[in-house]
Amino acid sequence: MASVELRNISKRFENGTWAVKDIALTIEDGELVVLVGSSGCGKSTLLRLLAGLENASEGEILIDGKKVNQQTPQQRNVAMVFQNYALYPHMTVRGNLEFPLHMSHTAKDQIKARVGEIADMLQLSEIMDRRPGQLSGGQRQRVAMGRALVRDPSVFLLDEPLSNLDASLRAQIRAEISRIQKRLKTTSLYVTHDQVEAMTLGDRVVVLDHGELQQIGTPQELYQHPKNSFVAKFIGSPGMNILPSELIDRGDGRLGVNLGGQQISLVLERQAYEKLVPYSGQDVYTGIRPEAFACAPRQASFELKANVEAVEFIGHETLAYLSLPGAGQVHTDQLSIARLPGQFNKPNADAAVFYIKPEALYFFNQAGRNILIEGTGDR
Amino acid sequence: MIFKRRVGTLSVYLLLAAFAFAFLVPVAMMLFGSFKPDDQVLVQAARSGSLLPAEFGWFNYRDVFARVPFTRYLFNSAFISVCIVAGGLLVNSLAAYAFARLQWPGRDWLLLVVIALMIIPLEAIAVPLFYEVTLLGWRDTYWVQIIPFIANAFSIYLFYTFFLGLPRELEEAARIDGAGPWRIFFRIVAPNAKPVFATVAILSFLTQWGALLWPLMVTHSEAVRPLPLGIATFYSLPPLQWGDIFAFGVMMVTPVLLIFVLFQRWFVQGVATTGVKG
Ligand SMILES: Nc1ncnc2c1ncn2[C@@H]1O[C@H](COP(=O)(O)OP(=O)(O)O)[C@@H](O)[C@H]1O
Ligand SMILES: [Mg+2]
Repeated sequence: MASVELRNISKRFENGTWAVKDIALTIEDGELVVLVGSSGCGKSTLLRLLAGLENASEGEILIDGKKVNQQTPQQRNVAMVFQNYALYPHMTVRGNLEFPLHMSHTAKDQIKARVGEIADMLQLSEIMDRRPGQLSGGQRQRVAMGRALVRDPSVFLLDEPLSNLDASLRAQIRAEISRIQKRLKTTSLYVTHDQVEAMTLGDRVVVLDHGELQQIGTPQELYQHPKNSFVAKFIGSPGMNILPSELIDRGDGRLGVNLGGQQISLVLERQAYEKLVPYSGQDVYTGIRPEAFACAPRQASFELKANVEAVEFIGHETLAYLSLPGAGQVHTDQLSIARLPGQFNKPNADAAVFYIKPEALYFFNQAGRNILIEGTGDR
Repeated sequence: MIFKRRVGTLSVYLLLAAFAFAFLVPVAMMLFGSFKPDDQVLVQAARSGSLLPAEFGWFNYRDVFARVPFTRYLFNSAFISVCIVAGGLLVNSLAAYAFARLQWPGRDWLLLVVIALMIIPLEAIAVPLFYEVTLLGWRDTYWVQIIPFIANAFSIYLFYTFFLGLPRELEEAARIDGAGPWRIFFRIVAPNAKPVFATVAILSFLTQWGALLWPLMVTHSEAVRPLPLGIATFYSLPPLQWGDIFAFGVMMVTPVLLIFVLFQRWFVQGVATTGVKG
């Protein structure tokens, strides 16, 4: 059991790449934190810094309040599950599980007891005498977890542990990881590029981009209150639509937004109004979640006309790809997406009308910061 | 169609058979010649085209043992080769691992030196080396035939390229599990590098088994001389006894063949990197 604290950690590789920039992060004792970001954003590097496989260029790493920058991985008592599992190919499953215990000079009978315990927990007892080459992907994954957990580590690190598995297995093992982590209460840092995985698994989620921390929060916080447009676009499936727009002062103490020629009047609470008012007359980005679109009017909703370019029916819902008339250039990869319940047919006329509640709108300034949360604050 | 293809296949096989025959003839000549009386070895082979001896006899083999201390040569060769192979596997693999995985000042520069050393043949440095071992007073010993050949640039290079290709995560996993560099090497890296150990073992064994120049320069007593110098004595004592030479040759290559058969399995086995995926 241990807490982990990263104090302004940076990592610069010899070739000059800053893979991780000034990250501050605390993981409470027993907590499962998920680190999410697209490929190459520095997730693995951060994990390896914590494991002691890389040295931090700047900053301090504390485990249980003690600075561990100079300690070996073993001294830190961290365990790690690698993306490709890294099982020892020449050893049986039992050999793999026993190896960490041999290295820490555990007594024979204790090794036997501990390995048995882990094998039971992960249902490995049947395959103890097989080699990694004779196992299925899911079994290898479980052995890798077992090898990491067998010596009861203070910190448990997982680097994209599900990315080599079939989609059907993924959900199952994800649930298993969650169950085991809750049972053992091992402080864990879990890395993934898949935001769904992050949202379903993490007590808290850390969003990383280009080595920089974008936001830390519970899944709900990230979804409802993204601090910037990157987080807004990254979280959600699909992510938030971010549209260039202009805030206008309507003169009567109310604000409006110009979305490609469509004027929308905003009914705002006092606090929100005061945060937005400094931006009136300026270009901002308006954010709309795909699930905020509706086909029928609702109380206090406004109308938004959009051309439906394509629809994808996926069973319980339909994704509609929209272009807003006049809202800048239309590139196919920049279409807005609406998530509509049930089946939605592409209308014969080009433009369709959607209904959106004004409180579902987000506003980001030119630097991408969420104006309603921070105004002009940091990040 | 089918007929055409058959003819094509047939001609390929004929060609291959011709090549095989050409390569096998000298070997067969050595084997069968070793059972023929000395005066018939060349005559028979050239005239009748028949390689088989009129009658088998072990007389040439008896002659070899009578004329030279064959078992002594055999022991010397085996001892020297085994020492070089065993020492070489250890030293060169460790050196290669240090080049491939450890961080130390001057590493890249020294690696260049090792690669450059590969292209320098023994013949080029034999004379200075000879002076060196003379100064050390090592001449006419086993050690003078062993120590200079343990460290080998080519072996290091073979190990080095193989280690570079091993998945790093295996070693990192072992580091996290608490293993230091020595244990990582002996318990994780080496067991997964069997093919390269086998390759280096065979290559350096073959080189040593046939070494002639250096032993000729630094030894003069039969107590420490290896097989190639033994066979050379037959050429220096006229009249040339071809049967004896062939018998000696057969006895010299048989151990090598055995070694090949023994290590064959390791070659075929390949790298078992199946624990690592993706
Ligand atoms: N050993 C290294 N040397 C130089 N650059 C590296 C090294 N490892 C990673 N990088 C770079 O650092 C960045 C982050 O890499 P990584 O942490 O592996 O990303 P992720 O795990 O999020 O995909 C990438 O741009 C990558 O190219
Ligand atoms: Mg990674």
